[in-house]
Amino acid sequence: MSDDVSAPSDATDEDIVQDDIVKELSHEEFDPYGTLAVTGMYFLLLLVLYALMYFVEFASRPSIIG
Amino acid sequence: MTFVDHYPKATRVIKAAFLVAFTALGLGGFGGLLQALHRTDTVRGIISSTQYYDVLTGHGVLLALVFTTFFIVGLYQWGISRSLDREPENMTFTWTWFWVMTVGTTLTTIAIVGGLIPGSEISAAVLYTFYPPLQAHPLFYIGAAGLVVGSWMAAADWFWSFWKWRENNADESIPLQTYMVLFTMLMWYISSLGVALEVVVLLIPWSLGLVTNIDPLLPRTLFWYFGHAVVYFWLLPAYFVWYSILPKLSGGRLFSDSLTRIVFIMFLLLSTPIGFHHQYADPGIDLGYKLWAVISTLLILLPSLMTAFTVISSMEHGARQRGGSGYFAWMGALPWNRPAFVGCALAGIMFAAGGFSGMVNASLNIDMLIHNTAWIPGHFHLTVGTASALTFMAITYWLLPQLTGRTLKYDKLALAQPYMWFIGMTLMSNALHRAGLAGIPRRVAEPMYRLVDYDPPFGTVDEMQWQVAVGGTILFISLVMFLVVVVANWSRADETAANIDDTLPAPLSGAEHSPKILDNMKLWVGVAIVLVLLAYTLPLVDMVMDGLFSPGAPPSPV
Repeated sequence: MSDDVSAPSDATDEDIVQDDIVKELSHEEFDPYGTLAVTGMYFLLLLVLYALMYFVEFASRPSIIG
Repeated sequence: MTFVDHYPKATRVIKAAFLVAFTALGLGGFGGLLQALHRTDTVRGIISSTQYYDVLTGHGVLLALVFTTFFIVGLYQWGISRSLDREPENMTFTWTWFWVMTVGTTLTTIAIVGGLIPGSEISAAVLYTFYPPLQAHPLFYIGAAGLVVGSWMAAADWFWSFWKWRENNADESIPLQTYMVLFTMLMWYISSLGVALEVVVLLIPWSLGLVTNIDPLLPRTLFWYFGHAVVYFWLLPAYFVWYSILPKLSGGRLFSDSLTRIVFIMFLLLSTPIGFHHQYADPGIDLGYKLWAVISTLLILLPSLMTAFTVISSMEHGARQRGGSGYFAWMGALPWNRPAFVGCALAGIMFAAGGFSGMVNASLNIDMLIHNTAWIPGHFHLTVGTASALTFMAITYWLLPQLTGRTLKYDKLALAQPYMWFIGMTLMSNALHRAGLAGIPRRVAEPMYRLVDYDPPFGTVDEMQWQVAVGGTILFISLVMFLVVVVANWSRADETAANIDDTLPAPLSGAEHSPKILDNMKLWVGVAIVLVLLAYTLPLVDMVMDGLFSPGAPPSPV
């Protein structure tokens, strides 16, 4: 094994995740739009939290400019 | 046949490293429970408010330095042996670094525990950051130096294996796991030089009484030269797991080999020059140096966000191969009933939340809102305390069978453990973050709840205290569950079970698509050194111009 890639195990493993695969997806067949959705949601969350920081710092408190 | 059958010598040293790591985890975790109960006024009397600082030092050092470093050397020895297909080159050398680290750890632990023994001359209540003029017994510093030097020797061992492999594989790309190990350790060599200089040149002579006074700023600066990079020394092994093993646990394949290499290069370049962002509130450092740290720190968000993309897309690939569909519904197709996957995935979710609080810490202006408050432990319990620690615990469930030849027993307990950790950390960390926004200080045994009228922007102080105490208790229970599973699965099987799966699938876009320049270690180390010199030369010259130990402060406690 001179690489990270191992050949499929010769074990008859009922516990390995690979047995749950219902279809093999190659690089060309895989379009990660779910990743776009999840990271997009994270980006929106960051924007909301950043906006929240404004209220924590300034809202309902006197600021240095009164 | 699994790892233990192919590499029995490496297995022994990996298990020895894990044994030290998990012992430190148990002891340090118990310290965390005591702190959570004491500081929130839930249970008083087990430790005094003076002993709190000894316990806090033990918690920080045993978890953030000892548990992490020993687990990492075990994990990385596994990665090197399997990806290069080699046993260590010389077992005497391999066991030497293990024992240098272990003896160092023992000395440091003796110094810390000494503080809890009445009448003891030895103590080290200097917390994990050991800022002078707080002074510890010399054993504390000498032991810490041993731990770091041992880890350098471990890295040298892995480079040795790599060079031997290279003799017969001159034109091949560096195997991806080896690549991640070597780039982590190159970063570690550059960054830990700072703490080594601090400890050996300044703190050991001072603690031995060879000099009386110490300049508080210079050692602090050398500490933080190392102190942010050490965060990546904890995180990159978690990334190693997320990039090389988690795709397989998800039922998929790594999205891109080259993206992985680029991310590790960026951490090598940017981990060390950003240490000043821990010193935004320190006097004696010009604002210009701090602004440079802001820019570099925000830049280092990039490889973490690239990691988010690569890791999530690799998991999505697995989910779709398992029949998942939709924009969000695919996540339901992931194996949420397998402990190794669950721990890594929950650790990643927690890390995303820590990413937000880290952005606040990185920003010079809003950092002032939360500097030295409970927000900071709220943040790093999401990063090192979950992203790293929970990943390490989870991947142990997958690695241990390979080291013993025994399929995992107590798998239901193992499955419940990461969920428990997630719940406990959600309670504790959200409360610590909000307590920080209210101005409640970190580190102290007595946060003066009755003398100071805190004004929390969300919730109440009582409710936050309750969440910290309950969250801390759940975390400790989760930790005990982990240790029970480890103990039950520790011994070597008489005969290796047939169904231990230790294979890793090839990336979707493999090393054949990675530019050769990504493997050029000399180039990237050169750039990393230039960036360090740009960030640190002038400020360090400023600090040493008036002498290494002046302006000097006397040690504390006197």
